[in-house]
Amino acid sequence: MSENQPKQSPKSGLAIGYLALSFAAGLLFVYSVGAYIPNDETAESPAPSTPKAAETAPATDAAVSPTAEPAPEAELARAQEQLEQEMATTRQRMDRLEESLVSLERDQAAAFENAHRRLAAELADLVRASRPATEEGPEAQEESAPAASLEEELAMLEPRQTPDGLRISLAESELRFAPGSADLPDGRPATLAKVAELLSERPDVRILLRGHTDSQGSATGNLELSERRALAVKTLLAASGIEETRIRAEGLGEGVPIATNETEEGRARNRRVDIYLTQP
Amino acid sequence: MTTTTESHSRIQHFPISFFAMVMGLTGLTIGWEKAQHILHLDLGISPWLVGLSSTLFLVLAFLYATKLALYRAFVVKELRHPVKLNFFPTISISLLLLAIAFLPLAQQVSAALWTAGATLHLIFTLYVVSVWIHHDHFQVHHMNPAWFIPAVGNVLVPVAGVPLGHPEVSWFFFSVGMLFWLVLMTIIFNRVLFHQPIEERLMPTLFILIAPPAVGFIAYLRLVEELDTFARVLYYSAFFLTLLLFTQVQRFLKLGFFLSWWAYSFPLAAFSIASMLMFERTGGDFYRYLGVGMLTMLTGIILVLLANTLKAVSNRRICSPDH
Repeated sequence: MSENQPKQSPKSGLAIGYLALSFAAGLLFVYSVGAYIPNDETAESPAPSTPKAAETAPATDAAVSPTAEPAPEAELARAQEQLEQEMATTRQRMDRLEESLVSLERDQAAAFENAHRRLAAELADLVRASRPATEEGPEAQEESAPAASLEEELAMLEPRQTPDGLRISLAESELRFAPGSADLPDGRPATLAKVAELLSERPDVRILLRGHTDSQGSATGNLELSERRALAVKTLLAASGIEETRIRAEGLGEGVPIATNETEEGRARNRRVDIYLTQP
Repeated sequence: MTTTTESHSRIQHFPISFFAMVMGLTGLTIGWEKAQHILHLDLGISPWLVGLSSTLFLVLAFLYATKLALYRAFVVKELRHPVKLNFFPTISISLLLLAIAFLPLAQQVSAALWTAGATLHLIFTLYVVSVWIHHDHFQVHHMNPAWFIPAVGNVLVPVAGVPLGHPEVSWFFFSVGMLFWLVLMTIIFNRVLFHQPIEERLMPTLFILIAPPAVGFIAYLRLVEELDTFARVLYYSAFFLTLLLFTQVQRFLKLGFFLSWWAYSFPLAAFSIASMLMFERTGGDFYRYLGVGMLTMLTGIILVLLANTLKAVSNRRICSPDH
């Protein structure tokens, strides 16, 4: 078919073979490239914009000739050679992505460090300010005995800087819920008391509560249960005098586990309420 | 078509359908851009392919402009021709496709191409449709798949239009394209089923049937983002039409080469890109293999088409009076 224009079909078999061959070349191409996908994708997910940029830039470093697109004949024969070039390119790109990932992590760590230091400073101020007023309320008194270390304690809760605000996860420490239950453990968890104090000292801080469940039971039931868990914490915070308008509670169901749902230990960690502190 | 003799300049018979070449090549370019993206590769071929398509477009545009300047009557004749008329929007479609190909490389160029392409395409669509309505010479055998070309162009607008920040304009063109797709699909099946079969020369244009749902799928994903029911309907319609036409492959291969063979290229590119998009959305490996396989096959086809076109031009089989 490529030689001339056949009016009859003797060459049409050849043409079909040609079409099939060029299609197969594509399959081979994907197959050979596909072997590297898993590594590549994990390296890529944090920086989705890099591949695009790298791709569209005229590749000066990629040692691939511009005519590397498959030629009609000898395509399979060249595929191997091409493949190796592509592998080299892919490795280069992976290296580049890893570099950018490392620098990204460094940036994040720095941002977190800053936020953490700022929070610690604010808390220290807060503790200093609240010391003369220790008689104000019972929980303030409770807290004021070890108040010197309030800052440390809050730091021990390991707040994390997230896009939604500073997150304090209560599951790990004390807010564990029994399976299927939205009842808080007896007594007031010390962490919540600290959060409540922070909120009363800092009227500009708002709070977002996100309830979660393990994967047991139906998804809809879990969605509702997670909301009830968040609301239970909200009720408790509201009882310590925080305006309800500053507290938002929502349930995310079973969809955001922080541990495996395969073990009892993991499920217990997943039954939790996360607290996000935000400054609008 | 005419009684003109060979002594006339070849420019005056320069056919408007040449622009189908740009469609095919640009489709190929976009396809390879996409394939490199989903395979996380950089073969360094994108700038070359974009350059090749743009150069071809400029050359063809220059030649056709010369024809317009020197032999206005022949251009008017093409504009009145019931079949060739439909190839005029290939100019605006080429602009729109180049806009897509330039999108990752140079956004301002892309924006300019898109604006020119969309405007021109609206004018062409209005003109073509008004000719359809106020015709006095159309018979059912004039209906052929080339009539889809104006419709396809409309569907193409959102692909670059949405990223360039014109969602409502994009929806407008998309709706127009979908509307005419359904209407023309019905008419073409009416002709094929109940009237004369399509003439040999235009047989390859049957491949254009794949384009509206395939391009529609790509455009719709730009407009709506998520892979919903309608997106799936579009994709699988394109899938079915591709299957259907590939089962006819024996028939197609018996045909001699005509410029209309280029009609194979663009719809296949569209389907290949649609499959790769489907892979991106669903993660199904099947679509990745299918998309890239179609793309390499298309590359093979285009190389053959290029060779045949060059040969035909040098043998004076194109740009001759009856072509």
